[in-house]
Amino acid sequence: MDPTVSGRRRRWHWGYVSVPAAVLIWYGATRGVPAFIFPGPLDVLQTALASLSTRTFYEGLGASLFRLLVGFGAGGVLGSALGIAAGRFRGIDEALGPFVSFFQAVPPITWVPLFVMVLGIGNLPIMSVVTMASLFPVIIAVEGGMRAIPKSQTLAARALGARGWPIVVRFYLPALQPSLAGGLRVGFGIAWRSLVASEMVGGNNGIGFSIQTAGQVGNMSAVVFGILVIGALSLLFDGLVLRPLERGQRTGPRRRSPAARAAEGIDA
Amino acid sequence: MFEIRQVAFYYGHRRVLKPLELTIDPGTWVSVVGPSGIGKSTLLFLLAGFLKPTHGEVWFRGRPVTGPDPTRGVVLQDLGLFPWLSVLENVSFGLHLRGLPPHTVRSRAEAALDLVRLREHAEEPVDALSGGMRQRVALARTLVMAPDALLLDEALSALDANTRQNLARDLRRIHNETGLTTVLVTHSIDEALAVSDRVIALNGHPAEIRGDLPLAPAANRAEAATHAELHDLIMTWIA
Repeated sequence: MDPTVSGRRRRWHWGYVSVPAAVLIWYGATRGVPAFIFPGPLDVLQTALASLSTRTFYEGLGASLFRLLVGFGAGGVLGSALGIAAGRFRGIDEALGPFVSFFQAVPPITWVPLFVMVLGIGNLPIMSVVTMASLFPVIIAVEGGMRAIPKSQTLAARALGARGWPIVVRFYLPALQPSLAGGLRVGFGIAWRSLVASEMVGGNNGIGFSIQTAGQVGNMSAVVFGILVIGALSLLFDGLVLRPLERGQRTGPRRRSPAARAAEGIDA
Repeated sequence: MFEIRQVAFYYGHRRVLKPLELTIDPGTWVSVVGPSGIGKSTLLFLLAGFLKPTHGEVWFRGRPVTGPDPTRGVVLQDLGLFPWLSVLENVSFGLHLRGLPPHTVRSRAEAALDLVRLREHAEEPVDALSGGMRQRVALARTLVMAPDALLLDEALSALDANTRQNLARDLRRIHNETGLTTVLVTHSIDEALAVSDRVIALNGHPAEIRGDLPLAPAANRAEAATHAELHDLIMTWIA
């Protein structure tokens, strides 16, 4: 069938080849190697099937996702608020600048000992690390986005009566959507890595804790399964939430609509 | 309507406007002409409340201007349309801020789009429109707020001659229908002469009012010679 008639055809994607090829290479490379040193795909599949039928797996997964959502949510909201404030008021920008530059250079995992000491073992220190991890990328992205908003748009919004909370909700947040989505994507990546690392160091359950425990008893299949779960969840969240958020913005020049082009002929 | 009382303005240490004294009567169309960069837009921004005078005060309807307000509608040179919204949503923006019910917002926004002849493009994204149509959206977005004054910053400058003429005619029609006090800032003397009741010429560094010309209704001064004479007179003020 003529593709121009049948509509959009799905474009070839090299991922269809590269992913199976990587699994095959993995399979070939681990043949004859004991599973407790470097497990092959079939060993990991067996472990995965076994884990997926246990309650412990889902409890650990739930604990990790809860920490991620609360910590990342807090970082996103706080980072957006501070980024908007810094972009709006020069004083706040100047006051915040040194802290943002300083703390964004500090690896989030280094906060774990301090937070565990202050907040104790449990969800709170790990969620705090996740918040720290996502906070600064969001502040930087939102503040940059604020600077990129054309002055004429801000003036127009103010002239139409926007001020206070409504100008944030009805003007700044939609105008900032591309930069906010970009900041959230970067923040999410760092937050996710920090979550797993924190659970490995200072957790008593969760995906990171499971990997750490499996590593200590030499269960490398469970370690690799944990790594796959981390990657898969990250891809899922990115594909389902962050990318659509980034794509959802109507910005940039567009082709003029046929009606507009027709109307232009008689009256632009 | 507007009273500009000894208003001077500095950008940092640079003196842009000398103390100006000016009154604009309700329902009149005043155009401010002058060379580029002379301070015309600064004067308009002072009237809009975007800027605060360094000295003096701007009064509007018997009250000092302290900030922007929908009673003084502004159409900016860059328009400032919101590209994430459709034409109708752009026009509805200010009405939503007032907390009006959705059906009232929609009917008022559609009426404003009728006024600028854009109703059929209501659902399109503003980026899909031509320059002249975008100008009309910005105008509708301002008019829908039922302002008492309309401030136009080089509203016609970026358009081609034909579009400019059509939009100028529409603006004048809307001005006559609504009785709005209108202030147009423009570098084009022809444009000012075509639509205004009064032309004010700014010139100098810092800028001052070099000329203030009341005009007879446009229909009574259609003769080319008269237009050319007025043009030449204004040119002597701003050259």
